[in-house]
Amino acid sequence: MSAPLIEARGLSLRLGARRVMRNISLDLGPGDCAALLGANGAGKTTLLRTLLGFVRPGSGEVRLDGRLLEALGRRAIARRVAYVPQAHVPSFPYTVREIVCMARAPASGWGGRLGAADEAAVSGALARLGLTGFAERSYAGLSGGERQAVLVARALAQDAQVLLMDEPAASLDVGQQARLMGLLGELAREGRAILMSTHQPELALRWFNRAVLLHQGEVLADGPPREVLTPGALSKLYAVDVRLVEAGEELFVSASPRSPDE
Amino acid sequence: MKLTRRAILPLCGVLLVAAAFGGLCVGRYPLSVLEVLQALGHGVGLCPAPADATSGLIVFAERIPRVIAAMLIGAGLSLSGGAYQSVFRNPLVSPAFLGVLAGAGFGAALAVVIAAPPALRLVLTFAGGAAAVGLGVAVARAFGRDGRGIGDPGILLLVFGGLVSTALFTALLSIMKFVADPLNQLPDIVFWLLGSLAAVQPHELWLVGPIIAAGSAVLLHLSRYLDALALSDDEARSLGLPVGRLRLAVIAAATVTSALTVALAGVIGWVGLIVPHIARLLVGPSHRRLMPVAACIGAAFMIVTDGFARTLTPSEIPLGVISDLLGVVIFLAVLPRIRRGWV
Repeated sequence: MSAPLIEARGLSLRLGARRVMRNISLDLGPGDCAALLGANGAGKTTLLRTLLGFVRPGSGEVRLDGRLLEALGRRAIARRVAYVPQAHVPSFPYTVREIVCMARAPASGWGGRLGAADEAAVSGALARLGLTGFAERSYAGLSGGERQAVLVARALAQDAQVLLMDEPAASLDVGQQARLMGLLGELAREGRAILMSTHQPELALRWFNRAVLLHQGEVLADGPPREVLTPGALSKLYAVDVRLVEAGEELFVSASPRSPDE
Repeated sequence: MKLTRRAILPLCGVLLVAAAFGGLCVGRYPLSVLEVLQALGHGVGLCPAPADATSGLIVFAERIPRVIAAMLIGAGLSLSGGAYQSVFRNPLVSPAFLGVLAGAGFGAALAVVIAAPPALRLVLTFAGGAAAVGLGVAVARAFGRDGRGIGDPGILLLVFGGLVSTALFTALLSIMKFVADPLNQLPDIVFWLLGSLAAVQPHELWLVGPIIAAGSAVLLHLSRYLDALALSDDEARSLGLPVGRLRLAVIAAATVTSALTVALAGVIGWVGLIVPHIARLLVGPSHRRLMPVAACIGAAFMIVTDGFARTLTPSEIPLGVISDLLGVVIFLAVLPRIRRGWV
């Protein structure tokens, strides 16, 4: 088994009186395509921000390629881990190429010029996502799915092996979601590690090879989606009654509210 | 013919050189192009002395310092405006935003009231601007200790700090006007607040100019990071940038630069707001292209504005008045195109 690209050990964090993470341990290795599931406030975003080094845990440690995260500078972290937020509209009307070029900004020379290797990384990432023809178009003018693809292209242009994604599928239509999920699968098969938070268990069941369930700041289960996404676990996770409905080879989630006296 | 973005910067450079040369020609005592060329040629030892020595005196003692001051002020304010707009992620931000101009104006007014010598006036003007920004950042930090790290108070709190700081220093400035001698000191304060290059002394220029130039150079150097800083903090960090340190460095350089423009020529508004917009219109929003173009346009704009201020009426019109009037007209002219560029 190959060494993990990113490993978290015993992460705990308290914000005021509230425990937002409790003894979380998690490894991601090459080929892992993991969905991070949990109700709102379960600690998904805090965990992602801790893995990126934006939040310092109260206890526990994060290692990248075996090295402590705290011992690495921001640029060294960025070379190993890329972050893909939800698609958004920035304050200024950047083109698609300008957004992707930002991945190489720390390496740019005087006047912001990119070297040949940086230009190649940007062009390669655009081509990989089928965005070459969009390169000079305004990012703000694209659809939600296209914008999300641009942010994935920016992450690829960073050359990082770990992609941490915070609900990138939240505002995408079914077609856009399918295209994004297909791409994530490809990237994982190439040896990258992916951890994506989502509110849609079906995505995890259909597209991911691993699911991590967070409940009140703790890892409730971690394993192959079909093994860990049980009706019991999902009912506990979202505090509703959950049934799994089988259609052909696929599983769908059916949730209904509990009666008030339950 | 549509200009390519690459051609814009050299064109703006040519425009700046033309504006600077024009600035040497126009004034109360108009000089022809030939007279200016002869004076310049003699000054650098390439030509014999012209028959009339007055032109050389005017060019070197009066107009060159004034044109250099106009260039530094226009470029400095435009670069500060572009930098502030990026780090505050708001295209409506200008150098006045964090209270820099209000603080520097207060410092200058205080210098008039206590009859400070010129060197102390420069120091007080700069100190006022720096104190205003320091207060804004301190307020943001004081309310921003939420465990995310001191030194990175967040955009919204900086906006709040800037509002507090601007309000305080505007009030202090009003107190200075209230206590000033209405016959001697108050007109001085009002004239200073309206902005002018008439009172720029060469020794002040040689003292302050290099610092404005250095601040502008720092902003140009940091412009490669401004695109990423205009994203969310988490995104900019994930791209490998030390967001808190970079933001403070940009704010510090923009503060020093814009506060010193007040020390040199008083409060000049609009330039720092509209010039980055015009540059954005010409070369797009990427700051590595936008900032040098904004510097050239801002410098040329200020030279032209000063030319109008010197020549429109028999007595010199305050620079701030002309720049505001021209700024409004230009802004209204380009606003429809700016709006189209946003979507």
